[in-house]
Amino acid sequence: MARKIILDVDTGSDDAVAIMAAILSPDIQLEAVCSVAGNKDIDKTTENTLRVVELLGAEVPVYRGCREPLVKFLCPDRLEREEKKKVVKDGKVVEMHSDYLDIPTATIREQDISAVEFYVQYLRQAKEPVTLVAVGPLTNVAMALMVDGTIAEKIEEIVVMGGGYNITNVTPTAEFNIWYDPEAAQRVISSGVRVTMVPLDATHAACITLDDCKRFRALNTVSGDFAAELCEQRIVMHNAAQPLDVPDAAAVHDALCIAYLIDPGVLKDVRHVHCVVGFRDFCEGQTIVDPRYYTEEKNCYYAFDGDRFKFVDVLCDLFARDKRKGR
Amino acid sequence: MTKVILDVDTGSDDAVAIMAAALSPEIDLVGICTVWGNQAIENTTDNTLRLVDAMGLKVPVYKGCDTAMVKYLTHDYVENVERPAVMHNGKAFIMHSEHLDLPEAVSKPEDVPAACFYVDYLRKAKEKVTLIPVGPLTNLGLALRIAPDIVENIEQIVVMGGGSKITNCNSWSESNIWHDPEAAQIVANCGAKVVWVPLDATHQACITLDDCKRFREIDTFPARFAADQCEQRIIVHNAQQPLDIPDAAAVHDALCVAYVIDPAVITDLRHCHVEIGLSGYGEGQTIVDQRAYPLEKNGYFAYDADRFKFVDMLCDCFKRGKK
Repeated sequence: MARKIILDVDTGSDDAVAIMAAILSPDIQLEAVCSVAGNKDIDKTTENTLRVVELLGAEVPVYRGCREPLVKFLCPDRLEREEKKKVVKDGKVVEMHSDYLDIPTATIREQDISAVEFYVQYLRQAKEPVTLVAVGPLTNVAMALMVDGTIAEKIEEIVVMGGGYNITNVTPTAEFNIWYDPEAAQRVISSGVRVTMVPLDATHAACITLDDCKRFRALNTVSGDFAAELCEQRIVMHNAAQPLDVPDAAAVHDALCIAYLIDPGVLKDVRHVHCVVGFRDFCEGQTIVDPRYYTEEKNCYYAFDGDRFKFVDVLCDLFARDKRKGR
Repeated sequence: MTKVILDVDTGSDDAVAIMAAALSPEIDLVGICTVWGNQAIENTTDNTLRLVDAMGLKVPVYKGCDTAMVKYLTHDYVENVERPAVMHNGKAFIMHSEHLDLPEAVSKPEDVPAACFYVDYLRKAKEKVTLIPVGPLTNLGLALRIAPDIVENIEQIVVMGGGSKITNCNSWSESNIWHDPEAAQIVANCGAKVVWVPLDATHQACITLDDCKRFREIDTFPARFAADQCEQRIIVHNAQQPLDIPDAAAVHDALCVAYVIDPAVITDLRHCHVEIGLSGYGEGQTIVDQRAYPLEKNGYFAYDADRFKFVDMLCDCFKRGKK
């Protein structure tokens, strides 16, 4: 039976790939998509999410989520993010996430209630456990758990794209999603629900190459073509700003979380660990994994490696199912 | 009539506030949210329901949050020392008993959590609503994060909390704000009109043993029950934080309700910049910018209140209660 999931996104280029994968998978029943501020502001991430859902003609409700992190910007004592270097290709500025995805403007609209209200209402009424896949900052999920702690019982697993042990991206210690709302991340990791962390260590290992993009295009479907475009854009950025071990390749973080639900083998070296999130100073947003032999109580599963070949195979299978032919 | 939502951690003075709000002809009490604080959320909710039943009120009660937004996520907060009970005539007294001395509640809280109620009610509100949060600000902090647009339908937020020259929780903070400083900071800067009713005002508007006699002479349920609560508070005040006036107690939360009924009960209200300390020896402090050229004014801070007027107003309310 298809696994029920709710996807929480800050769309976002890799979020778009994740949404398409979730919509197309026969193993997944996508109950709803919640937007959150992160890669872009909440208006943009919501609009982009609606665009992707509409592009695939999916009947999935979208809920607008939180505009700001829980408490991060209440006091001006948090670390500023470094200015990013501009990447220019063919005379055009390329970004990891464009303001708006290059697909038609959405005509469908988000639902009337907010993402947090939706989580609380939906989970209170849920007859069977649901998996949450949160691939942006964890603001919505943390808020919902605070508003009504009893919903934790209805959550089968929370799969989080975030963190990094040996690899970080936004500061020397932190990955973006966790850094953007560290308090929310800590709430979720320590919630008592089963949490699987998919950090940069896994997503960089499970990278997508230019050759993989060719495979996507060869499928001649809307999702295959659009995924190829997004991955190629990311490869330009990775090559310029954070080249991977494999040449001409990019991490497509968020989609790996969806692939994990379809084939857990895409994550390798998943260890049951004690993880806490740093809040202040140079540790802000760091996922601190207890490396000691006698660790503090283990509270999550942390993926230290990924299998890029399996990952691409999973994505190709999904995009091949798309009935809409090429862009 | 002013539409009001109360947010309480009942609580002895919360009980007096609820009764005043329910009985005032100036106030249309549309909902009561509960929150952790004086006691655990189970107790504050149960106590609120007990009082609602005892008063025969038809006001929905929404159960709120059970802990602070982020304070307890780390060990990075200042521990508070629990005060011992005060022995009086062989009985132990604390400021807020675990259970109000009322029959067990028959009513139940509504099926919607408090933060969601705020969002849903305020988004749909046809007229502006006054919020009177008199416990930690957790529910409201969350609601403002879920839907910042609800500010448009808030008339004002009258907060019981903080202190400029007077504190009670530790040497720099008042309990409600100390319990959830981050939530208070969200409220302080949310853009709605915020009126802070701190200890500076509530200690001035104290209730004396003589005032309790006046309540008892009214001889209605709320008057008697308010007298019970105030007398208990006077015992604890006398032992732990005696006021300038002998045999008197602050009944903080009720002063916020009185202010909404008649703002004249607050006698020195200053428009100023208020910020909340978030960590270390500043955690939960209400910092009022006192400089000649302060930062942008974002709230109103009450420095003084009229205790005679306050008692008269409470008496007027309690006269309307059942025998």
